[in-house]
Amino acid sequence: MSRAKRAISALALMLAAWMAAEKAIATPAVQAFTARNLIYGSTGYDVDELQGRLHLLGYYWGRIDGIFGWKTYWAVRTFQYNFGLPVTGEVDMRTKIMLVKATPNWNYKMDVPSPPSGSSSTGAVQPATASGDSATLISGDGFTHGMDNLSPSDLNLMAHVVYGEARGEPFEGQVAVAAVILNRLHDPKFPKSIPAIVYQPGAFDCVNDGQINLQPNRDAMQAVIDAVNGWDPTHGALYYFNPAKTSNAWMWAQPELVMIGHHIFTA
Amino acid sequence: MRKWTWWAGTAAAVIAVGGAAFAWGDHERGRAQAMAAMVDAGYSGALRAAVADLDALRAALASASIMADPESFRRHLADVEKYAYAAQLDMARIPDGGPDHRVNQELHRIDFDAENWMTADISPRNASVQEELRQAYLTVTRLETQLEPIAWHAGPVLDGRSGTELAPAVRNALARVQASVAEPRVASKRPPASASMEATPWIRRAEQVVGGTIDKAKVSDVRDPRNGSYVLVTGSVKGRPVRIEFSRTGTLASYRLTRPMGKSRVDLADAADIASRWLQRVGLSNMVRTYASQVDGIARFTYQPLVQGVPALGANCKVVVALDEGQVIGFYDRGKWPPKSLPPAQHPLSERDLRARLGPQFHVQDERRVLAEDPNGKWVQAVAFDGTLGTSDEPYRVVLDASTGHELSVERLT
Repeated sequence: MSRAKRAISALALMLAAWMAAEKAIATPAVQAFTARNLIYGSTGYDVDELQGRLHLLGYYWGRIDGIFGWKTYWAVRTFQYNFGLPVTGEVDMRTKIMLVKATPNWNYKMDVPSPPSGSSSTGAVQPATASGDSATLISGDGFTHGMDNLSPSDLNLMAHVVYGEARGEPFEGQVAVAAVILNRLHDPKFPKSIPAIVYQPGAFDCVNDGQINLQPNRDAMQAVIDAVNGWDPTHGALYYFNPAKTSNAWMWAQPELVMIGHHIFTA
Repeated sequence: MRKWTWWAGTAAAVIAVGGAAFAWGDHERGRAQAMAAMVDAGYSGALRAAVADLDALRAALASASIMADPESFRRHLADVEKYAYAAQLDMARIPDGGPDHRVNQELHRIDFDAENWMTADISPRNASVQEELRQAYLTVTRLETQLEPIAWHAGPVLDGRSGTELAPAVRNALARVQASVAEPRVASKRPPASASMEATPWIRRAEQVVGGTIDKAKVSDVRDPRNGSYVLVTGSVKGRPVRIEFSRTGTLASYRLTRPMGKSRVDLADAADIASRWLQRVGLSNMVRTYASQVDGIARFTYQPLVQGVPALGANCKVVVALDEGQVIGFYDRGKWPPKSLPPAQHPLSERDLRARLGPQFHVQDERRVLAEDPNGKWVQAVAFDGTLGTSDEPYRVVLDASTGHELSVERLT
């Protein structure tokens, strides 16, 4: 009887030890950062961990989405200020060491459920978030975030126009079409919103022939991003036309600024 | 009997063909009428709304001219701004209203002036403001008088035309209205006399930007009738097209190398260092990085120039880095540069005074001194408050004039 009790006790001890070991292996107490520095705009698991640790300390209150946006930036600055580090808003090795020391009990399971982030730190297309705390990103269907006071809807509409009007043109020709739309937005002669400019009667052929409804490709989206970022190969053009297809005397009478691909851009 | 049958058959066939032709004709006539009615409604809807808004705008301008009480004056200026904007939208809705919308340009000027006067808290007794209001009133009255008969298709203007004849008639009438509005004169900039068009120095400068040899380099002097001329260097780098623009004084305006992107290997922070080093290499030092984004293996960094350590908002340039090799493949400059020294800020408001101008729902996270442009394009010392809006938790930036406390911009951060 006592031998049976001892055997059962030994079995229970072994079972408890095995369960403890498995738990320890499954959830390490500290998940170390990689060596890379993190700045505004960084994405990936490192940012997930950064947000998780800052959240545990009460500095970060946004979604843990793996995207280093404004809320993450402000949380990092506050952390750096409170822990006597240089306040840069950038996460270097010193900040990471201090953060790991301050959160010894953090593990990734503590974080609130978040959408899956890309495994790579760079270049990966990231999922959309609703918090607005992210860099400008593209999903499979189009823009998911606004940029420079333009909404994702505006950017998508511009990409549709660029693709419908200039998909066979060189890249700068596509940027030029997007730049013309933006130039019109800032010109008092034109309506004050992207949809109003695009759907102004007779403004763009692709609206009339339905090509605006074609799904834009990545080049068209990149062209829009470059135009919104300030690249204007037309130097302020408000109109353009294809000389091989246009006999409109008014168009030909406008001062020509530059010719890119098959389009002449005019003031 | 047979003869009767033949006549009856023929008559039935004639009736059937005639009936079908009549039905088809009637259907087509109905369609044409519907189309004409649609065109008619398109023109008359937009024009009548424009006339109504111009009438309200005229009344608001008159009220602003009449009232010397600052509070009433501000309220009437707000009406001026509102109706001028509404009239611009109405004019933009006119189908095929012609590409040269000088009327809208004039309305925008009125809208813009009213906004500036409100921002600057201008006295209603200011003589130049009163003169501007008088001119605006006369312009709006003239526009309203000209547009009204067009909107109602009456009088000698359109000769009572409608339907298919309406569109060209309205177009011609609108062209006469446009012609009655003086086109604003735009002074064209002339290139500086010292400009040189020898190709070799420009190619050398372009190669310094690219960091390598440019094959089949071509230098062109592009004449821009509005902004002076600039120098364009095109060619290829390792078979990929490159395009670089310089101002005539040699300042880099834009650069873009178009090439396919490989798998990303360079980290964003390392790419930021590459961008900063590249800026110094092309002669743009004393800049601070303020924003970064990465899409499809391309990182874009925003830099702002520092004036005595204070960043100048709005005077930014962008550097584009390919994350596969860490190569700088683009640069765009908006061509707007701040003064070399800080503009004087007389009697700057305290941080507490400035914060008191922010709403209770705005939670400030960051605050710093900046240089910003006021509505008249003048650089002033300002304070930027970054924070979140309580209801949505969305990040925003508010920029206030450090001397007057006036709002210079409210921007949603992305």
